[in-house]
This record gives sequence, structure tokens and C-alpha cells, in this order.
Amino acid sequence: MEQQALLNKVIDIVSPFAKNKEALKSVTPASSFLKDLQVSSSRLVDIILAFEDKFGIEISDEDAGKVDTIGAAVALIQAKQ
Amino acid sequence: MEDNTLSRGQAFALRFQQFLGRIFLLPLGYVVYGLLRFRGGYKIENHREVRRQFRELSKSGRPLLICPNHLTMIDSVIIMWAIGSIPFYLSNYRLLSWNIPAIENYRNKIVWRVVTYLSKCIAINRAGGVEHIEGILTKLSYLLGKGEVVTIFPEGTRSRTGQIDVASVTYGMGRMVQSVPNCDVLCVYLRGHGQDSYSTYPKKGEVIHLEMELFTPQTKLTGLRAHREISIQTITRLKQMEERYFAKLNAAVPSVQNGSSS
Repeated sequence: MEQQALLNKVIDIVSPFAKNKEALKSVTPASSFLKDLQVSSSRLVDIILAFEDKFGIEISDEDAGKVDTIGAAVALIQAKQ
Repeated sequence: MEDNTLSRGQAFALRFQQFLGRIFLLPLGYVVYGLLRFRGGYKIENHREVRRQFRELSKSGRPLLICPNHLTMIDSVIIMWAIGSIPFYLSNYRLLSWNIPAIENYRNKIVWRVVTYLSKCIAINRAGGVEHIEGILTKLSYLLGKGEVVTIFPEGTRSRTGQIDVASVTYGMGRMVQSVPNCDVLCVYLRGHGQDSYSTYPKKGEVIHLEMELFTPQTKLTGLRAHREISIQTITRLKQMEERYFAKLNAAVPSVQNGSSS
């Protein structure tokens, strides 16, 4: 999948879980899930599991712990596909 | 199974905290009792029965995670007072639960820092990031594995609506249950009869209803999916307890109004 298309898909998945809806409008690969988008750590688990379901990949607990930004999520999904 | 190993230093620090807590249990326990009973004027509904139930439920000696609903800032203190007396905790110190109060509530209050330290508390900084929270959960899982009782609120914070919001469930408790073999979960539903929403303390003179349900979460899933599944099982049970509480309350209102209360 093309990088931009993947980024858009990731943002679509993350959107319902982000408390900071304003930050979603100007989201970049550097946007942090916890600090910028104000996603709680448990909702981040929901996001990781949604990535697994939507992209048909498996993410280990160790890899999941490294997903702290939108860009890191995109890179991980690309690597697993 | 998760890795619950601590460094020797961390394990020693917890044992030392436990040792000091035990020494100060008697004076500190009675101060807390005095504050709850005489300053707050709180009473527990069917108090003897609640304590008898907990004695029974805790007899198995299996790891025990207490998961209550969360409406006031002192819920965990009220639960400890409700389910056991000070003499009971003196002879069963492991059953006095570990707690994880949010440090932002008492960061600059030195007295509270000392009191919470001596009361088996591990301060958590909710804005502390994944690593900090993981570290706390590992300590708690370690303690559970050593036979200690731990309290964790599945909602993570006091309910802003005054009722359990199943969708707000956090998965830390699921991770802990999954990390300790044969861990039981004690769901505790507590609510002052005058408690409409969340608050810092219960209302003065409040009569507090408390009920408990013990269960062993089961899942065939692994990893994060297992943590989520177990947490959802737990909060669903708590929600059912809440629904039963309100159903009973609503059923009682017409009969009281008709003067036919039994």
C-alpha cells in the first residue's frame, strides 16, 4: 500500500480513540498517540488490535510497546505486510 | 505469561515498605478508622456480614486482585475498612491490599506521601508514560505472585457519570491477572446511598452499600487480546452488580412510599 494511503488508513483507525480532536486535524507522522492525540494506554491497545484485524498482521507485545507515534505505526505495518 | 521479575533493589524496597507498614499498622489504622467513623460518620451496610464474607472468600490463599467501581477518592480506604478489622489485618497482613493512588492528588503533601507509603501504596503518575505504568504493573504482578492482595480500579479513574462506563475500561488489570497463575478477581461494588455522582469524599454520615463477587477469569486468547478479554469480563460483572443495586433500590422505593417496607 502506498505510504500516504496507509497513513490515511491509520488516521481513520486512530480517530475514534483520540481525545484531542483538534490535534487530529493537523496530524503528522511525528504525532504522539499519548501526548498529542491524548489516546489512553488502554485505547492504544485497542488501536494495535485494530491494526492487526484491518491489515491482517500480527504485532508482538514487544513491537506494540514501540508504537508511540503515527509514523512508528505506519512503519511497523509496512514492515509486517 | 508475563515477566514479573523485579531487580533485587526493587524487591527489597517493596519488602522494606511492607515491613514499615506492618509496624505502623496499629497507630495508623486507628487514626484512619477514627477519621472514617467519627469525622466522616460513615457506616457500612451489613458490616459484620461483609467482613464474614471476605474472611470466607480470602481463605483459599490464591492470588487475589480486588476490582472495585470508583466514585470517591477514598474508595480503596473504605473497602479496606469495610472488609477487615485492624486486628484481622494484624494477623493477616497480606490481606491488607496494595493500592496505586494517583500522585497528582498528593504530590506536594508530605504527610500524605508518608501515610500512603506506610499503607501499602505505590504512587502512579497517570501522565507518566507507558514505561512508568508498565513498571508499576510489574511491581503489582510481582506482589500478587507473592500472595499479596492488590486493588486496581478497572475504570482507571472515578466515574464522571456516577455509573460504570463499560467502554472506559482499562486493560492493566487484565495484564496482571494473565501474569499470575490462578489469580482470582474480587469484584467489589460500593456506593453510598446518597452518592449521585463522583466526588472527593462520600457525603458526611453516609451509609455505604458494599457487595462482593469472586470469580476466576477465563480466556483462550493470549497477549493483548487476553488482557482486553479479562478486563471486559471484570467490568461487565461490575456493571451487572450495579444494575442489580439500582433494580433493588427502585423496587424498594414504591414499597417504602406505600409504607409497606419490610
